[in-house]
Amino acid sequence: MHVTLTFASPMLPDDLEILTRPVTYLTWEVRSRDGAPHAVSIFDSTSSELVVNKPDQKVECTRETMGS
Amino acid sequence: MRWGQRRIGPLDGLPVERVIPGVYAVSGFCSALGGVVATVYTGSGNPTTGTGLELDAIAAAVIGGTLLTGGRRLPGGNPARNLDFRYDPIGARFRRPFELVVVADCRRNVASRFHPPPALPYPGSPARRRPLTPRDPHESQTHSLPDARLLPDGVRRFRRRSPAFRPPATPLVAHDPNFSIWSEADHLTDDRDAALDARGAFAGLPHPGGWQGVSIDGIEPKEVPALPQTGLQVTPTRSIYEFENESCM
Repeated sequence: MHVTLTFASPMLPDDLEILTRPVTYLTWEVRSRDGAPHAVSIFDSTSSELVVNKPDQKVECTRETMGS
Repeated sequence: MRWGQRRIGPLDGLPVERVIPGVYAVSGFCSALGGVVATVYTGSGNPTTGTGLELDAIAAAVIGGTLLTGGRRLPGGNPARNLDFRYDPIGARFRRPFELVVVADCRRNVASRFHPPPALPYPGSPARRRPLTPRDPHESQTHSLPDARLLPDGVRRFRRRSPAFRPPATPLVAHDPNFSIWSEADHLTDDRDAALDARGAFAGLPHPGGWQGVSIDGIEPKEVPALPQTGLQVTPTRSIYEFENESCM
């Protein structure tokens, strides 16, 4: 399989609203090498250590549903 | 306030509308206090007492801890540091402006005058990999820099000579010094013990048929093999990793 993983930070200097958006977009593009269709699922996880200063700090989280 | 711009502060969540009147109020209060002190000192009121004292005031502010270049510094800090006029690049270092990528390549350009360009850090023979789909010719160059028009002539010539580009660090998440993750490894999957806070930050598992999948970041879960990296492209706003294995999916 071939995976293209894109980290996109939309730091567009001419649009301050987008520039200051604290979001990095991860794009997964998975292709099969034999050209035949396959089912693929992706597990993508981000560590809660990203939002704390020290690993022993507590993190509060919620589960959101987006779209349909 | 980031970059000293009044418009960006509110977007960062800073209460600019509250801070600015407060700054003026404090400044006015200090001026009034200074007037009272001057009146007590001279025993009389004179509206021109402060004339000519501007430089003294600036010197006092700097020695007291205010950075002329902006930013935060506590009063009573190291006076020598307070007089440090150099531009503090820490903010710039952790963002991803165009110059940084260009600088990185210039450094490699200088190094390559003394050493042969490093071999591609990616395993696997390109000949063995057949193209998946007809591709855009620009895409076939999996290592590339941002738009050539942004680069000085020397770098552009160098780039034509050597298409492989291995940045000293690849930006993954690049916003501000507090929210910034870079990969310094040859492969994204090598970054197991990243010194930065990237440890365990991302785990990806494209898995065909069950969980015998592959791990993109090679960290979690540990029993899953890392997916071999075949290419990297860094543009001003994106870092594009290519992975491929022999999995028959």
